[in-house]
Amino acid sequence: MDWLFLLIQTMNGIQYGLLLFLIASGLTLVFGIMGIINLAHGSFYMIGAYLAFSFTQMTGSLLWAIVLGIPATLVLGVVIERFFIVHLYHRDHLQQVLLTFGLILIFNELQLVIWGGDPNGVPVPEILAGSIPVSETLSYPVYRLFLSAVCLVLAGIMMVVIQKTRLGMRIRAGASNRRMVEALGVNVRALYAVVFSVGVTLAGVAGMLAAPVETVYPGMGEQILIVSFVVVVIGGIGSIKGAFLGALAIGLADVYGQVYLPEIASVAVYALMAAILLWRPEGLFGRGAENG
Amino acid sequence: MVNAPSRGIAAALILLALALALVPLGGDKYWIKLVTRMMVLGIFAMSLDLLVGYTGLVSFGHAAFFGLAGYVLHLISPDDAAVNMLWALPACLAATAAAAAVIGALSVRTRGIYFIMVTLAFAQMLFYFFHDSDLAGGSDGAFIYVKPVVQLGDWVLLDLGGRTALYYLALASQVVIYAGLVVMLRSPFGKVIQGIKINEHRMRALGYNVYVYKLVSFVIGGTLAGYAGFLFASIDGFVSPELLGWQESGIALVMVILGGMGTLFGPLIGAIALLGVEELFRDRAVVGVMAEHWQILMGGFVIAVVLFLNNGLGGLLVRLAGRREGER
Amino acid sequence: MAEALLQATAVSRNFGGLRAVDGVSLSCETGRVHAVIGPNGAGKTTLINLLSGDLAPSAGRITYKGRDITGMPAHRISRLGIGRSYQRTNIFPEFTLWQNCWLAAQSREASSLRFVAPANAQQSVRARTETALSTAGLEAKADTAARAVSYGEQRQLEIAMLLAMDPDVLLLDEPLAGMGADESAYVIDLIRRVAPDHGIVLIEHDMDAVFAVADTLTVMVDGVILESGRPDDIRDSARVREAYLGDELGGAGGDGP
Repeated sequence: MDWLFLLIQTMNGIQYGLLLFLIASGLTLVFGIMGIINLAHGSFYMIGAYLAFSFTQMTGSLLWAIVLGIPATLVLGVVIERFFIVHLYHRDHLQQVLLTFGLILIFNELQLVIWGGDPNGVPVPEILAGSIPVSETLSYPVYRLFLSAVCLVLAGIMMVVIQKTRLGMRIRAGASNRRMVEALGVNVRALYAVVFSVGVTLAGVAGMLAAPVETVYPGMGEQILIVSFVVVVIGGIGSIKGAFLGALAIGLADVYGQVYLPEIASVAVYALMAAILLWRPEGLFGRGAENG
Repeated sequence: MVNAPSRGIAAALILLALALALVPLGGDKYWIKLVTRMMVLGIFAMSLDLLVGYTGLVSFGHAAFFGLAGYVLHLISPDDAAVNMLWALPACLAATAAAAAVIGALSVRTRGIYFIMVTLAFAQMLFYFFHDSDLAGGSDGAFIYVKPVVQLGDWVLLDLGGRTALYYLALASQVVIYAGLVVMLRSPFGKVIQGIKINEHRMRALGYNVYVYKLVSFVIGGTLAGYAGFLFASIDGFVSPELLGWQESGIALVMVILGGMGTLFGPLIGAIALLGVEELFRDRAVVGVMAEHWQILMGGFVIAVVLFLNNGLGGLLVRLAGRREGER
Repeated sequence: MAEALLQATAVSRNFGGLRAVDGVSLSCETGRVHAVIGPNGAGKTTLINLLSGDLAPSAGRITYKGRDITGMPAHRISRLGIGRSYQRTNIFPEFTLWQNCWLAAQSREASSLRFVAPANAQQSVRARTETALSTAGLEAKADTAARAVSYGEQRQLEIAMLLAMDPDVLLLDEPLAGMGADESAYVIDLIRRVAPDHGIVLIEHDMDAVFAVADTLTVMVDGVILESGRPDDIRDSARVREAYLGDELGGAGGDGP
């Protein structure tokens, strides 16, 4: 009984961690490859969740909403990169922080204009609505398993793309030495656009997938952004592997914290970050020198 | 090294201070309160400029200290009586200095993007602490019912409940802190942190323990932010978690950039300008229906400042005032 | 034999799989110039970085005045009295030459946590600043921003900053790189002038300069020491000639002292 409860909490932690990974991987790649700190990344998560809400209302199913939402967030990513982020290459971090801060202000207000300030729920698709009983009193929702599975598949695809393809080779090269890639004559602009848009889409997908599990509410973007920052700091900038492990660690720390130490749960995640920083200021898989 | 303003700028600043001193004579409550906020946020922005513009520490969690001081003031203020500033202020400053020392000790170990994210994360930690706990009203915030006074025995020297008194305290604080920082930036410590900003690696090779100097600067900046927070909480007699939130930190950075970082007086102008712009954006007569969604305009304004105003208003003024005199 | 001022014993440094410095031993005594030469990529700058504490050795031991300083952070090694200059100009471009040297001179004070009196108030630091500037021949440009002076003058500033630190050991990493003939001659003379009171480790590609000032020569190739000894012996070494010096030495030998 007790260990079944622990098992369920562990699965919740892993599920949250995998979701965080989808968001943090985009952040860490944009840092690592483009040298850009993007505060607006959390907004894309929020936008994804609200798109899921609206498209589900229109089509009747979250699955259709995701099918529609992916191209929508991809286009959003392309547009944001083309009109805003493009001005930030070779600018210092401070300017990047401020410009993307300005974007957040705009996104948040637009969200209020379009969807209003009330929290919304998104229904779980019918085929995934059930629960698997694990004991007489405990059960685990199918949708959460589905969510974890999708995240794992996406993580797997990402790993394969990065390890096996030409695009992945460039991404890896970019993450380890940006100037080198530029010098080699790779079409950096195109590479950046792809990386940024894919990052935006991943964050958007994370928001869509999370919509039925979490409430869809204003400010959800910032909350997840900060946690994703913690993940990236723990994992080391530019490291997908670090983001993966960091995300799982934070996911578990958060869930266990809420169950076993509810008084300090909101601080547990940051305490973990502080501990890791004391031990390794560049994160678990960071590369010493900072290239900005 | 940009330490003291040139004569032209100094004259302009004196004129500005004199003009500010005249505002309460008009007696308009709205203006007194608005300009008080401008000056207090100017102190806050100036304390951030010490870190960003002079030490090379781009902190995105500076509001943590600003808000923390406000919360400490709330916690030590009785509900039905005024707290004596003579001990309340040192208590608030000590609390923020201690918080800055702990957060700084950890975050100064990191650099660049890491530093930005780590300071942000620690500030959010404090944000959630006050947001989620019942200690001080949680997400609703809490009131300071009776504002602090300066009291010797039974003799009340200064009552921050008085709008004009608070106004002049803010003005005097701004002048004193500005002058103090100018002096500090000319001192050995000031030169050393500026050296660290320009070339940290070389400073290490010269034998400076860079970590210590950055940390001390971080604590000074944090404590000054705490002072600004103390005053700010006294304006409305109200504190809320938003005071330590990342938006507040972001706005402070915008003030620094808008005014011109590394100029010290720039952030003072930046605070005035940003609050002025905010008032315009919230005014229906000026922007029409957009007044309800002024954050969109503010976001666009921030982006425009980043893209087009590289050295800020202060940089513009310095250029207008001509080259500064040679200085050692 | 007197104990060496600075002594490296079998130090190595790996970068991933690459062994940039491999079991190098080297000593440096007051009044002597120990030059390290070798082709690009021989590990000379890495060696300097190990001696100055910019990098920690992977293996081996470094002592200074008999004290083990292996793995000590750079700022502490610097404060003990080991100063270095950089191959690529490494100064404070926004500051004037005076301020650059002042930072170097101030670094010798017990602490710079002083917040009130102006930086230029302290007489002793000011004196060291001004002596260093005039020794390096830069007093005329004291109030010019470092970014505004010529490349050669920036190189001289590197040395002036080193002198302002008043170290016992000077680690000079290609001080003549990119200098014109007149400037080079000035700096060579400068090294000669300061040599009696300092231990100097010099990395330099200019063979004329090396043979003009060095008391001991160490030749490094691929991270290891090929040969070490008096300049004349090195000049005559067949191995060195074959591995590295070749024509360069012929030229240098022809019009050497």
